[in-house]
Amino acid sequence: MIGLPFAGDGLVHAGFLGLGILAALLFYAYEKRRRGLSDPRLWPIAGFAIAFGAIGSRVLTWDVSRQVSLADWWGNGDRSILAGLVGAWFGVHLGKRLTGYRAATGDLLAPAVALALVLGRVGCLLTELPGTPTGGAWGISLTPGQAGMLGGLPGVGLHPSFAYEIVFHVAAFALMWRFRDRLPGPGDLFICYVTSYALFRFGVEFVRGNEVLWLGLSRPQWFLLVILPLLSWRMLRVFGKPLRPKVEGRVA
Amino acid sequence: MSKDNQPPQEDEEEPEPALGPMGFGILLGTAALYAIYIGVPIAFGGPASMPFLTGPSAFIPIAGYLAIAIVLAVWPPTSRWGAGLLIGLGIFTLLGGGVCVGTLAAQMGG
Repeated sequence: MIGLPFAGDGLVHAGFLGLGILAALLFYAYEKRRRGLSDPRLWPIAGFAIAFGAIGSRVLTWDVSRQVSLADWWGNGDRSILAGLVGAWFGVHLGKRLTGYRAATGDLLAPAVALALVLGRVGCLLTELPGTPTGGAWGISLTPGQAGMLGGLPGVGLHPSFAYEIVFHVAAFALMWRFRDRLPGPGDLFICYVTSYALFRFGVEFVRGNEVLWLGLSRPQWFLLVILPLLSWRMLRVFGKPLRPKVEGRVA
Repeated sequence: MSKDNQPPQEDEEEPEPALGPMGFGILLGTAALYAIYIGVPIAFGGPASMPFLTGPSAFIPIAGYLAIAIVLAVWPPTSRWGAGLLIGLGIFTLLGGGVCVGTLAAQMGG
């Protein structure tokens, strides 16, 4: 078993999150240039995505049943990548509406999001409660002090659920890199990525160790149960069309 | 043809300086938010001397900042500044702003 080197260290967590944002911005700039997109409205749209994603990750998890003020929740409440993605989605649509940009931007944003989550989840892996007990002699082990701080069990192997998620996002990034010009319609890459992440996240929640809300499912799983049918319907539309042949050179 | 319906421009982007308006917007925006939520309370004797940074009013600076950033981002001549300010808000919110606001709120509330 291995230990948790930076349990509860907010600086380490923030550092990797910052690296993730930087990597995403650099990849967005690279991909924008590769696709030959020079519309000046694309950077403000990226700004809307980041700002509202950040706000959403904090505000949309606000649990009023706990009788905590929004200011307290903002500082000390739960964070959620799923809520952040919802906020970013809203931000992109708001930005496109306000700037009058009509073309799909999901294909431009999806690989950048995956890259940000790879690095951001490294911060989670090093600092947060890893997951539920593995039942075996492997996994991440917490000291009694770390277990008291993070709310886990000391001395037993815990699922490195964030490592599982890092592997998922690396694989997703590689696949998106491979097929980024091959899917039939604009925005399909984003739909495929978000749907596959929703399915993966639903599964990994069983070993994440989040609070069970009802019927053995956590709050993220209930949220995913609501949106998965919609995403599945969109996926069927994507794969109901033939793949494009690989296009050499620039694509819009 | 309206601006909305123009096809994506195909020509190569002009080379830009390493730290253009967007970079300055990111730096300026992040620094301004940290100054408001950390620097100013420290300079004026701690959070206890800044009652407006408690409860719901703690969000007024962020809301004002967001409104300005959106206006700048939407207006074409300042869109890169606005984009930078929006990214700066995201960085501040994700990396440390929440901790600051929460700490101030807890101290003022307690």
